Amino acid sequence: MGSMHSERKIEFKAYDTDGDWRIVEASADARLSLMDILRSNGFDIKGVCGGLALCGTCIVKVISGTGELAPPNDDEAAMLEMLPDAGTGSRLACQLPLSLSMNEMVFGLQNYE
Amino acid sequence: MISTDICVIGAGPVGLFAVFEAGLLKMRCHVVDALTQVGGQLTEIYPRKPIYDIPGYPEITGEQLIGQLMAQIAPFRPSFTLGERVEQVDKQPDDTFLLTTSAGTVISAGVVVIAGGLGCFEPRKPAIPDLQLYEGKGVAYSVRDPEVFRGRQVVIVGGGDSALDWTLVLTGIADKVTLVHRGNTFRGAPDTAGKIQELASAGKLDLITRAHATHLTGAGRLERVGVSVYGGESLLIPADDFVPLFGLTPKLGPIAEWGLNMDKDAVSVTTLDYSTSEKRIYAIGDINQYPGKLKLILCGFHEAALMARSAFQFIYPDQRINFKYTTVYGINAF
Ligand SMILES: Cc1cc2nc3c(=O)[nH]c(=O)nc-3n(C[C@H](O)[C@H](O)[C@H](O)COP(=O)(O)OP(=O)(O)OC[C@H]3O[C@@H](n4cnc5c(N)ncnc54)[C@H](O)[C@@H]3O)c2cc1C
Repeated sequence: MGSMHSERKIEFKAYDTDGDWRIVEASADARLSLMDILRSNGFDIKGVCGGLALCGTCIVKVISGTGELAPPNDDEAAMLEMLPDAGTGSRLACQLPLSLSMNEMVFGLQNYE
Repeated sequence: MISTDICVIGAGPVGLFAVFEAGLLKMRCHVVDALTQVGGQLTEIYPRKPIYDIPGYPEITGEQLIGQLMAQIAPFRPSFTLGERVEQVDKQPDDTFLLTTSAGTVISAGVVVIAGGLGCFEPRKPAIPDLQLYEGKGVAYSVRDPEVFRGRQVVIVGGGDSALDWTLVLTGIADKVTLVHRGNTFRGAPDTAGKIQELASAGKLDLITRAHATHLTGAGRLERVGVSVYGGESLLIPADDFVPLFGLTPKLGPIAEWGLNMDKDAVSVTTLDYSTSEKRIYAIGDINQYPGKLKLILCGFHEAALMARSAFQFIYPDQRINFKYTTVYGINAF
């Protein structure tokens, strides 16, 4: 690994589908997606297709901070369109790279059906 | 009734390769899949994505791999029941099984191989109260025979390719078609989207964008679909049929009810031969679980080979297997 002294920490809040929440800490420098970090923090995300925006089973709702995220690309937008319960603020966690802008945001896991 | 040596549940890559490994040992297979096409996840989720970790193929798409597997198993002439899911597996007094599908097809088999992957692919259903209540009474999640909709009032929801394609087909057949879409643009194939807009402008199709279906009403049968337009009015649209088309997603389904030892959503097996807690029932591919399990196609292929050698004892109890390479023995089609 390169020089670590400027590692940039982020913290955000995530609700699981039962309504329980946890604060998740991560480094914005890790080349991981929101799905990866939620999974490794014990959230039960299916993520059938492994991060290709092809299955929709990692759908999350951005409860606060939507404006901070880059809008969905075509693949993600096309998949979101196929998910009956996606609404404004719904995103695919596999398509969201960890970034500083996620600091203090709030996410909620959605049932993917 | 269909009679076979081995009934393979699931026509994904692993179920298909199981036909090959069984065939080498002279065991015939019948394959059942809930989908109307073979290939499992590869055909349903990623037909055109290249896969890079199939031994011997630096790169091959999902669709191509399934094509190759179908060619490879052709000499063993497997039979297929597609578009039906296996609902029940009943043990018979002689230790064989009777399997019953959703369409009532009955299959008799000496051995059952569950290659069910992530489960049955099922339609994604919108969260609308009472949706289930009207299933079969106006609510359908697929269009099998467009003629069924002749002269009727149909409300379709969805914005993907299948919603657009079926809207086009039904617009010529149904009395009236309403397409309800959450967005205000369509991302499917551009010419399809263009045709939809044309039909809407010509008044041949009711297109309601930036809206979603909220509720269904009707006494015993669907009569109306409630639709809410974002930031605006609520409509109540007269409808004989309501067809949500949001694609398919895998759900475990009936496998969980067959009395097998399970580990979450997977069937527990022993790595000796990938047998389950029930004699003569094996589970291979994504559907099984054991220490060190990797959900990879190549691991499923390996599991199929070991399964077949073990299943042989039940199909040919009086014979011993002589291990032979295919290079030595060929494949001896039947
Ligand atoms: C986007 C994506 C990319 C992938 N990339 C790779 C990769 O690069 N390399 C790799 O090795 N793997 C990859 N995988 C994983 C690979 O696709 C799976 O390991 C593989 O499909 C498992 O095969 P299977 O035959 O066990 O199950 P599946 O392919 O899931 O097929 C199971 C079939 O069983 C049917 N079924 C289930 N229950 C029933 C029932 N009760 N009655 C009738 N039918 C039933 C289902 O309808 C389904 O068609 C990827 C997966 C996805 C989604």
